Amino acid sequence: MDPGILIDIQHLHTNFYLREGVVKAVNGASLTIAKGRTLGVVGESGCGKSVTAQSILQIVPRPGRIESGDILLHIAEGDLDETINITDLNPGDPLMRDIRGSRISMIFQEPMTSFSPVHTVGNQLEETIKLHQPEHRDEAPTRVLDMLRRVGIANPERNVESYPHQLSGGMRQRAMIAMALMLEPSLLIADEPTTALDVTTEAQILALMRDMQSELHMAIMFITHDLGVIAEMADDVVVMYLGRVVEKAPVRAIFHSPKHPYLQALLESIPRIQKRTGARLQAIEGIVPNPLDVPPGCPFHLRCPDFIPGVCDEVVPADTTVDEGHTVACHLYTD
Amino acid sequence: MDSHELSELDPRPETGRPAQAEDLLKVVDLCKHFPIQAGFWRRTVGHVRAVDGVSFVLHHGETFGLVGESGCGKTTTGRSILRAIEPTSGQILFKDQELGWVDVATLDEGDLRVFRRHTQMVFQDPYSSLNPRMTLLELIGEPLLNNGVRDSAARRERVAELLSLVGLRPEYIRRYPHAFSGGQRQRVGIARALALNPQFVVCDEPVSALDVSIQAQTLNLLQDLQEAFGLTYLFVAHQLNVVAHICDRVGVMYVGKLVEVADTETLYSSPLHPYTEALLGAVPHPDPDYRGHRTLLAGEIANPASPPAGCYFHPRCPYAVDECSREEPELRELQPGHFVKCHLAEELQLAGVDLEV
Amino acid sequence: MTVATPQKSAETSLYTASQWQLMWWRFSRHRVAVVSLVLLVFAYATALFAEVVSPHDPNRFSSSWVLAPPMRLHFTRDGSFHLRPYVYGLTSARDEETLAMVVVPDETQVHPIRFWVKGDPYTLWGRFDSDLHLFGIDAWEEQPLFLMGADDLGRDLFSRIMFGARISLSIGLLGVGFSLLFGVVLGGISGYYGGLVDVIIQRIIELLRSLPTIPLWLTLVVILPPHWSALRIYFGITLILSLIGWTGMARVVRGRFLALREEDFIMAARLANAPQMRIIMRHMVPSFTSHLIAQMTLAVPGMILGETALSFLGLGLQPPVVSWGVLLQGAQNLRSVVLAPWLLLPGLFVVAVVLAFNFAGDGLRDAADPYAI
Repeated sequence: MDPGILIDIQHLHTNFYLREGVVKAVNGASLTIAKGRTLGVVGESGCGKSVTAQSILQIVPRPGRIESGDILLHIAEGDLDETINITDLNPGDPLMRDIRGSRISMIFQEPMTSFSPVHTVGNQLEETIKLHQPEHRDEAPTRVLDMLRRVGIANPERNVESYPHQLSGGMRQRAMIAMALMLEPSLLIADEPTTALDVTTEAQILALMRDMQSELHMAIMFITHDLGVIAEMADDVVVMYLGRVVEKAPVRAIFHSPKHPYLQALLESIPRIQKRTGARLQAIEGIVPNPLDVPPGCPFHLRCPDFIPGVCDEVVPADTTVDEGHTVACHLYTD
Repeated sequence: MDSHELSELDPRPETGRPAQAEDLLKVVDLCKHFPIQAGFWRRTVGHVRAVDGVSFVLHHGETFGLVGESGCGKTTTGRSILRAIEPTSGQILFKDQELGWVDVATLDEGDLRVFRRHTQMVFQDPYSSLNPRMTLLELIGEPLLNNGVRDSAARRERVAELLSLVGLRPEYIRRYPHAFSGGQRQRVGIARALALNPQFVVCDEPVSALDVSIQAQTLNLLQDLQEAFGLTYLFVAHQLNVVAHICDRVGVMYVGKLVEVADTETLYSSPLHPYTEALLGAVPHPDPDYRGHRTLLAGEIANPASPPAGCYFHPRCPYAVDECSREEPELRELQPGHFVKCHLAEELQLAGVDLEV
Repeated sequence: MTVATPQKSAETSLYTASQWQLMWWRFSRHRVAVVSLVLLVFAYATALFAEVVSPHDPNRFSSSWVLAPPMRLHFTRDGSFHLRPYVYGLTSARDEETLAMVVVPDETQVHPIRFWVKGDPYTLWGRFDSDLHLFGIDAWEEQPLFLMGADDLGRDLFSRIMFGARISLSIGLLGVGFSLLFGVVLGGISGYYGGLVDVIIQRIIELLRSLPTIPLWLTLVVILPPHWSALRIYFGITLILSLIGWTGMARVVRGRFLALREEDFIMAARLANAPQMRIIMRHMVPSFTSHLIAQMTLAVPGMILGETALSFLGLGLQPPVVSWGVLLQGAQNLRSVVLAPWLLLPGLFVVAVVLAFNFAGDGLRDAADPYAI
């Protein structure tokens, strides 16, 4: 495995078994997360971006289950150099719990989901240290205060005693980031962390995440539907549609030479603040198909302007490399 | 009521010019204060000043955008104008096609019913705004039924016509909302708003709950309908890129007050209020090489139940001087059509967004 | 203009299914709830036709059969199997140790059980005179059929349980009916108008709910005039039981009204000029009837248990009225529990019905809002 790679996901399938049928939320996705870099995962609701993240942490909610595929976690620390396949572990495995606590942590759109409402913020942060690094329990209170200060919580000595609901939305988001970074993980998964925030608060949180990344040298997997946030945060980008990765590339290539018709159309369709022509937007026709009834072949063929009959509706396109580090899953680029 | 009388109703200098032919709506000093109740007998212990003295004018056929962050009162303003909620004070002067100029805030039951035939609303949430227990026929037919279209065949025909107008198949008329995706439901909501051929539609964040690829479809639909039926929109939104795309003029709200009003190009390229600058600077651009102005505001939005003294924005304003914390600025017309509520508007050189034309 | 394509998997029936269809589909996936519902329908049907279903007149007594044990049903005779069960006749004998008279089976008498036999004459629903019973034995005049034994007056316990079901089950429904009436009216007023009315009604509800129920019932029962007829006592008790019951219903209704008032679709209806009455009846009420039904189903067992408790304590219905609580009152002493444990059988019926109501109510509650995900 390339030493610069932290997580390598190969052909991941995660299904949800509903009464109405099987939803293939992640349908053979492959992607890699490089050490210290930010991978942006972009897609519309139901494209499988959150489920991919949940699969990495083995926290896929029932009735969902990882069906097949590999999630390789590369750990290199001092003498230690090993690769763990997360899909081989049980969700309750002690090693998995250790990974979740100290190597990979996650922040969410709604910070209240990661806090217990009945304990103070300080207690909950100290708890993470006591649980995962019992040898450092004595320094827990000082480390908590230090971390709260670093994430920009005003007056940490007082706010450490606050209950989560007493903090404002932006402060809560900061407290959640503090909790996630308490053990200095090598990967932070951020699932739409700013979607519920106002633009000015969003800008604050994004700046904070960038600062913390350069301080702690961690990788970030940034999940969002907002291409603006992707452009601002990501080094590399993965575009997902209906459970499949349709394009992977460094961020400049994504915005300057998009290949997949879906990505091209998506970039065309967003209203841009500095382009005020008043003309109609280039909308993508149709709607995302019902995930219970995914069409055969390319998942996008029903809405694709470059649809090739007999090919796109029959064969699932394979990843084609179009440039260094730039792959696309589309029949237009296979020969 | 003719336009002469109207100008007498309207004492404020910045909006005090007589109503002009193209005016459709003049909001004067609109306030909506929600009581805060507490204790065993739920006494009123204070007020949330959700909308606090908002004045603006809407021209016939235009789209006026109201932007601001959550809790700034933009939605409450939109709802008060339609009397969906009762405004606390202020005038809402509307040029109704049947009643002529009226003050919506003081309309009686009967006239309000007439007014409501000519105005409608598109809601943000396509799920909670459609009664899940009604078919499309009943949902879109509701305004028809309540406003005199008693004949069920005529109603069915009109609903089918409206469905194809918004891009849904008329065969879906018997279906319930749970059969549709968010974007399709929003089309149903738009069809319902258009059922009676309104003059004026309040669009309350109509695309914020939709997926990116569906937003464009919905915005196009709204534009097409505006063109076809000469609609006037009040477009409430928090997404500045969407507002830039669809609105002719924009008003920026902060903690219940309008802080800046101008036509879209002017507002985006040369803002006069520091808050507008900060909002524009905070928007993430879908371009990794964008090197425009970035501002990071410190602090948080003021609490509308206990706003700070002076200008509400002064605790976060990078340019604030002493005067700002003492005295609340007036909304002044600095350039024709460009209103701003800031003491320093003349002196500041603020950065906007570079517009590509 | 774009045309949104339909979802291809169009299972059109799902898309045109009304609220009640969706609810039924959801409910029917809940196995235990469906079984419970079937059981309840069966229980109410038997209570309705108690005269026909029970083999005896519940008040026919005989000193010969005091505390007769339940009869066993036999299917084999002379080593061969018969589909039609039979019972042995009963006879009195002297216990050789205690020298007391006891009732024992007499294996010389064989009585096959038949459907639709003649028996004690009755008048169904005060209307139809008949003497046909669903099942029984031919020699009904001299030999009783005690499927669940006899009580201390030699009356058939099974027949008495059937008649008791009529009172006990109906008191639950009637009590919930009263609760519903108070609850919907007061809860609706409270939720719709809000303000001071709401505050007052809510404080009254809190007061009522804070009172311990059993002492309150006891006090109220004592107020009922002793000379009242059995029927008036019955209604009196039902009213007393629903005095507490309505508060729960009122809270549900008020809560739904408050939540619904804020819903966008209610605002949309107002902006569409829908009259007040139409908003309430067409938009608000249908959105909570399903919740109300679930709440009612969960409230019935409380009523049944309340009646049982009061009657068991001797403060509710009095003999000769038959209810499950009255029957259990007869099993109050240790002697009967040791010598005639079958007298506790009515308790089993109470448990079964209460459980069935709870399971069915749970299923209904889960199905009540088919639009939640």
